[in-house]
Amino acid sequence: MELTLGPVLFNWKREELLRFYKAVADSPVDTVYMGEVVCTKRRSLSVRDIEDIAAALSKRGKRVILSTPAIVAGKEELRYIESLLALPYPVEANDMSVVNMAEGKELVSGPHIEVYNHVAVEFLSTLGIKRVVFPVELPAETIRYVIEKTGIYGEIVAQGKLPLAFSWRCYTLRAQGLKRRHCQNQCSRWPDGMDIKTLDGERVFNINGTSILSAKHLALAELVEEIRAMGIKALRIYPHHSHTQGTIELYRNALDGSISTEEAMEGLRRLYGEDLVNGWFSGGPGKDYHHTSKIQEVMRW
Amino acid sequence: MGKKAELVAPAGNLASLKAAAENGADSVYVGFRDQTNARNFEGLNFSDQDIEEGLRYLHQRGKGLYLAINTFPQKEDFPRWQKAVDRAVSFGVDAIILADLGVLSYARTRYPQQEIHLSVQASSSNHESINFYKKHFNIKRVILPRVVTLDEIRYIHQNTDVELEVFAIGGLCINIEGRCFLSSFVTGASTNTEGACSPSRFVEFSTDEGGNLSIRLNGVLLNRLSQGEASPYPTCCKGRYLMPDGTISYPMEEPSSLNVVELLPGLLEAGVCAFKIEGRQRTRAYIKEVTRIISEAIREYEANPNSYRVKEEWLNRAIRTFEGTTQTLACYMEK
Repeated sequence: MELTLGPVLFNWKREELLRFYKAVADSPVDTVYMGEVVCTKRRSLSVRDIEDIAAALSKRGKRVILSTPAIVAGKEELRYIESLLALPYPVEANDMSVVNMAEGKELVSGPHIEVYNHVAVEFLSTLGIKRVVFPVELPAETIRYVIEKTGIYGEIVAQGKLPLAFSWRCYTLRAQGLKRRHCQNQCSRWPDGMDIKTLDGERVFNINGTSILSAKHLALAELVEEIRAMGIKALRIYPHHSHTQGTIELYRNALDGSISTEEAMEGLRRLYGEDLVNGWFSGGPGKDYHHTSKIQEVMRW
Repeated sequence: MGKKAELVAPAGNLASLKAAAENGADSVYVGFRDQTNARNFEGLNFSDQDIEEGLRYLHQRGKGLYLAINTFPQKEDFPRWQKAVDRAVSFGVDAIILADLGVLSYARTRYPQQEIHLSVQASSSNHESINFYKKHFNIKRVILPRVVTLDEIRYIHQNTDVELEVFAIGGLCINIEGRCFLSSFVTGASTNTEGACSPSRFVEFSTDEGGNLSIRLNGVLLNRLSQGEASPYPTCCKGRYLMPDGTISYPMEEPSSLNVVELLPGLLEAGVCAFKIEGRQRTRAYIKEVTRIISEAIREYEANPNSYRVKEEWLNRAIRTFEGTTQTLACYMEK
């Protein structure tokens, strides 16, 4: 099973990102996605920086794939995509614009492309797309069906705060009564986004610039056997401000069988607290946690 | 100025369809009575017989009928969406409104001549994406997600010959439509596959002794309102939350509705060819009123483009239909 590191969804400062990817070079992930998905006003890393980091990661045996924005509305995003397409790495398309612009380029269908069925995947295959990162809300049953029908190389998101929505509006600025012309990279003050609570204190959503994430972390480590059996070939971990290295190691060890999946989950709970979620996997609300036994029941296809 | 601007009104039933046509709509969009469309609410939408009658009614008056098959099928359900396309084409609807890549590729291969519009659920918000759908599926029109500014619309128009339709009035999605999983995260019912955001079976209202109203979605508290405060349809994005600094606010969007009457000239000049009214789930009275407002505004502008002024009365009448919410231009002017 391939272990991948998703793009950083938060706005970290340049030095921090350089430090982070230096550590990633030594970590046991196979593939690293990098590039701006949320908002192209964030420019901690220049395209030149991305190129340098990608080269350094490649040298250390990592496969690099460049991620692109989940909303593409104007010239700024299109220019950003163009500049990534010019680099010698495969690109993860999160909007159909990328597919239109990427003649002859190796492409991955990213988690923000709406892929829900085998016919859609068959269509993407005719365009030369060989790898699909499934949307985070898809239940295991649907993913299994698509893979069985198409044989596509499938990746799913296994760990991290879940990207739930993307807007034209910057929610971080709105929280301060500001508009996007006042940007000044305010979201960099929240390196793991800003958790908000319901009026009775439940943590559900997280504000991160122009995106909404889940407040709680998804964790599928205890299900790696089931995931393998579904024919999924790659697991994605989203980076967070703390514990990303430890998380990568837990998944790698669970995949190698050097620790049990229960031990991996215990480790994740120590890092992120008790309230992890996995509800979407078995077709329930994404915000919920379902015990493995219940999931296995659902998975008796 | 070129072609007349088209007004596209919603209808959840025949009575609304007729009300829309009588009050100035040039075309009406509807859905089948199942999860193949993105307004799959109980008691709403069209049987085959309704479609036939609606078509007859509209065609006699020189108006069009569009049918939305704009959700995303999964697994062995795919043939139901195919059949929906087959039925729509056999009825002779003027256009089908599609979102899913699979359904699009089926429809285009099977019916090369059928007019296809790209649903807002496809999240196509720039000319490269629009031209992609044009190249592969020969779409005639795109309904733009509510994430683009007037300047961006102009830029899109300069770079594509696909017709541009925009939302003019009604409920407002603040996140790009096809990529918003907030309701799905809370309820487990995907808006993209089931065709409803905040399905009513998950919505629960309760009142405490003090008369305060709590609104929950699948148990998650979205708002608490004091007596007399308006309560629009509850969605996660228009909920009230506790911020890290301890304040209470609407961090995503306050309960507000879109109304672009003051921007009609700008939007037309930028290259928009059709205005869409949101709300297939709304009442006949609502559809009648908002259709009349926008159609009056369009007519007024087309008669005297240089002296177009927004009538106070349009705004007041619109406000009355908005369940006590305010009105907004969303991001058409500024993000």
